[in-house]
Amino acid sequence: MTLGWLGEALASAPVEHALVAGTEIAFLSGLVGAFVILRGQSFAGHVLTDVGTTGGAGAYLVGMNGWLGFLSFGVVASVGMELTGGRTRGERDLATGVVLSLALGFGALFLYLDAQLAHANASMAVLFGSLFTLDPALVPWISLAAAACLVAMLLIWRPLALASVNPDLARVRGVPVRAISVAFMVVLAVAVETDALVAGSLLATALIVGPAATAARFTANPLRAGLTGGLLGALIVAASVLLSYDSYTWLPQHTSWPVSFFVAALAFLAYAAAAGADRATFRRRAEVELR
Amino acid sequence: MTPAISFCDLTVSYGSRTVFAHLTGEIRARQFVGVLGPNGAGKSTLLKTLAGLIRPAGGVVEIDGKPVRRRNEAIGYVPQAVHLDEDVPLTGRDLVGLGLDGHRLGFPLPSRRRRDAIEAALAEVNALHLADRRIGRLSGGERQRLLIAQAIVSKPRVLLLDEPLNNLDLASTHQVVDLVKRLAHEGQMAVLLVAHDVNPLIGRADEILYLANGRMAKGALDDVLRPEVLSGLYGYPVEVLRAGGRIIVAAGAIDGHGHAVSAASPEASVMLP
Repeated sequence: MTLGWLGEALASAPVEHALVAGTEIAFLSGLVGAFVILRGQSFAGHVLTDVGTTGGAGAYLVGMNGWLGFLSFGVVASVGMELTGGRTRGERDLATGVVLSLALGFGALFLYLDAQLAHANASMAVLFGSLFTLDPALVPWISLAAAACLVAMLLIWRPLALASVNPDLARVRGVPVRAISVAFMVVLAVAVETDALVAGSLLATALIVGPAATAARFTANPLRAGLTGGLLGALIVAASVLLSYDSYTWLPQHTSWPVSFFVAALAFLAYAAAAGADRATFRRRAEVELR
Repeated sequence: MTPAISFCDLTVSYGSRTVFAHLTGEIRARQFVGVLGPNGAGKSTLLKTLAGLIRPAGGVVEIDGKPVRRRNEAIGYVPQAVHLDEDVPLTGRDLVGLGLDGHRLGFPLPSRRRRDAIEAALAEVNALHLADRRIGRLSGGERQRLLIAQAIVSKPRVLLLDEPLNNLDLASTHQVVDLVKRLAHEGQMAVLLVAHDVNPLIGRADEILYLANGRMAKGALDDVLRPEVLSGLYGYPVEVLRAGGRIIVAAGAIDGHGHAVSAASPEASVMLP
């Protein structure tokens, strides 16, 4: 790799769009991920990707923009899950599971119809991402959505944290717990469904849970974990975009490896390294205490 | 002096089912009251009604002489032990800080006053050493002490604890009850603690509020946990057995078919005839 290669990559419009949209949404995802861990909602995040599959596949079917398809289904499903689910974690998971199977059923139908009706690439794009074929007109909208969600997250940060660990005290102090939970689910849906463009709906949660879980190994404070997770996610996506661009010259030649592969691989490597480092310090601390 | 909590003619129903009706009573500052009764008697419902979280069908609740309202910093609320995964990024300090300003928008900015208030609350519950530990890696008793610190960091007048002793071992149970007693007496708070089992409260709670069958009895422990009082509440014969300093409340024990209605395990009270 030489600087000349990097300059050439950055001069390419699809790469630039991919970098801008990808890193912005990855930062939001890491921030959101800290709360997904705090609230034990990684299952809900996963369901939103499955629901997104249906929306994305449906969008291709009617010739609509894929992102809007992902987004509309994800937002509706997230609000629906939060409002129909019970107050306990178990009840919530049940409601979530019911939504999931319905969504996957329609997803199967739409993907099948996509393949039959001349959108042969639709299933690959929906399931594994389509960052390089992003419509340039969408990029500012993605930036706007990411920025709005970021502001919303920072605004509801404290009441959301209190509502997550002690909902009754939150209600006593006047926090509208239900409304805040719904707001969080909508932000989560925007993050997950836009990640689906980057990494595909199958791997979208890699950007929600991976970087945040890695950051949570280093720092025990939610805000710091969220910001670190966001930066790590943005780095992973930037590296993945560039590696995917470069892989055109790898084996087999003249075929780029998908961005989603690099995202998943790098997210895993970061987590494994953090877990290893954490265990090592834990052992060292235990030895010091034994002495 | 105005009582910290007072409730008058309090009735709460869920749909057509009345949980309890026409309850009247008051709790003064520095008073530690244990709330007992069988499952489904409405212990938690009473606590939530006093906290202003449930709107009663009838009657009024007053905190410090004023009708209870939302957005209340005069009330601290401690839930049952919460479950959190080991790696959740939240320290004891973060948890307590949320009790101070968790209802405000934005994220907490570090300040001297905020840090001092948090450390004072941690010191109150002997948990300064847990300040920077992850709460997911603490024991149930340690976590419960942090939740109490979270509830008292805003210096409330009233502290409500909803089954805080569930899932705690015996040593932690006594530690938490002793702590709550000290907070009531030294911290000038009115404290209500919902429990399944009367035994950890013996010699510690100032009064018992016993709920059963939609009615309540309130007074000193030895005045309330008497067969004639509890039989009157339940509406059928109830025995109060004392053995080795422990108390077991049992239904219909005289005919030899006794069922414990308020013993150490919550399941014991499900077997009501």
